Amino acid sequence: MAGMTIDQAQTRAKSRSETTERLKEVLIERLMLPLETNEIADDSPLFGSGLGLDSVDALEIVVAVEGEFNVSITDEDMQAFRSINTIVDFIELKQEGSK
Amino acid sequence: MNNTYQLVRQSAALFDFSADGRFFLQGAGAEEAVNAIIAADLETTRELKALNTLLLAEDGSITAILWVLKSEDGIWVLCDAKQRSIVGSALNAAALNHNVECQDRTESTTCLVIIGPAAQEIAMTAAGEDIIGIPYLGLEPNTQTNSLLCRLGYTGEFEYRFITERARASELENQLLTAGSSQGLERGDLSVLPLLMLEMRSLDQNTHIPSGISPIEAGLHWMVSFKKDAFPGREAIMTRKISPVEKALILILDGDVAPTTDVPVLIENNAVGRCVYLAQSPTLGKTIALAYVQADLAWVGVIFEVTGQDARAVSAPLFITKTVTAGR
Repeated sequence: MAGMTIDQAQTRAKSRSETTERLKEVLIERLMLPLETNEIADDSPLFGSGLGLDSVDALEIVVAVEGEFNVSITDEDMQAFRSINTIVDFIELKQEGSK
Repeated sequence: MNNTYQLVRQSAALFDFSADGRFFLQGAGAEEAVNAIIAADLETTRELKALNTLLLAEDGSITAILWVLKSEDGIWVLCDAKQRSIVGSALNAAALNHNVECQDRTESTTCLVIIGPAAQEIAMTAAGEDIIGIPYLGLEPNTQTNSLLCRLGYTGEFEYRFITERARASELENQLLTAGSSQGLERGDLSVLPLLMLEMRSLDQNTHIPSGISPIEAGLHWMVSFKKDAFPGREAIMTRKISPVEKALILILDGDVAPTTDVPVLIENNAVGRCVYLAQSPTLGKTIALAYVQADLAWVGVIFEVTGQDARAVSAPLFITKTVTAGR
């Protein structure tokens, strides 16, 4: 049988949803977005037509993520920040690497 | 198919979107008329800018995905060919209420589109170097091609849309093909667009959005202005966003699967969702799927079973395109 068991899937979903929710809360607060967390899709593009953020906001995202999740971000890392989900991927990767 | 795919990802292809619906509303009240029926707020959009939004049914389900273009002399509304009739009816009713005229310009105009990392360079050759100043979601009348030129896009690549009179279609097509000849510009196959779109987590209404799905389940929240006081479907959307039943997820499968639809998504042999679209991504060299999965399990990193294989939920976009890389 392929895939996870239901227990594994629920554990994974819980962990991911907690990080995603926290990230949305931080971004809403720091960027003063007129949105609630359930008004942002996890794959929403950060720039352009999605959340409509700009390069100034990108710097604020870096400061917010570094401060809240205790990870360091290089200019190169930032290039992968295309959506809420890709930032969460980055946070998980960094946190996994530091264990 | 692969040729069009490679052209779009490596250079550029020319597409004919002329079958899609194009409506034009003009005069005092045109903006209000359009704003009355769309889910985003046109009042906050500046002139010469485009808005990607939705026409919703009262139950919050997606009726049509729209591009609304705020031009100097009126409002254009673009939609897929299959939704032309229903969008036209909604616009005509709104126009009547606001005492403005709504023209269906689908038959009298043509829409040619260049998509790919070389599209900007080709557009500059055809339409003049100044067009480099058109931002994403920008538009302006272009005298060199005698068209309304819009920079939109769903594929992560440059996309320039030229809207002009239908009588000029061949002339414009030749102009664009000549401008792109050194980059190998060729006519593209429209059937490849859903794959190119999904790789960037854009959704094609007819391929990726089953009937009854709202922007909440589809993950198209950004096409909705939640602070807007009134639009069709608003009440339903505000309820659905609190506890969605299912959510759209992109899955990457371990092995190859023939392109198909309606494949169950399983956890321990129990169906927890369904794939509505599967296709091979040439860039990833893997099968990707769009699935609608029960919301409590619809999270990146969960591994489901699809056609007996591991199917991992992943983040979008699936990769950084050449257009984005070159822009850095």
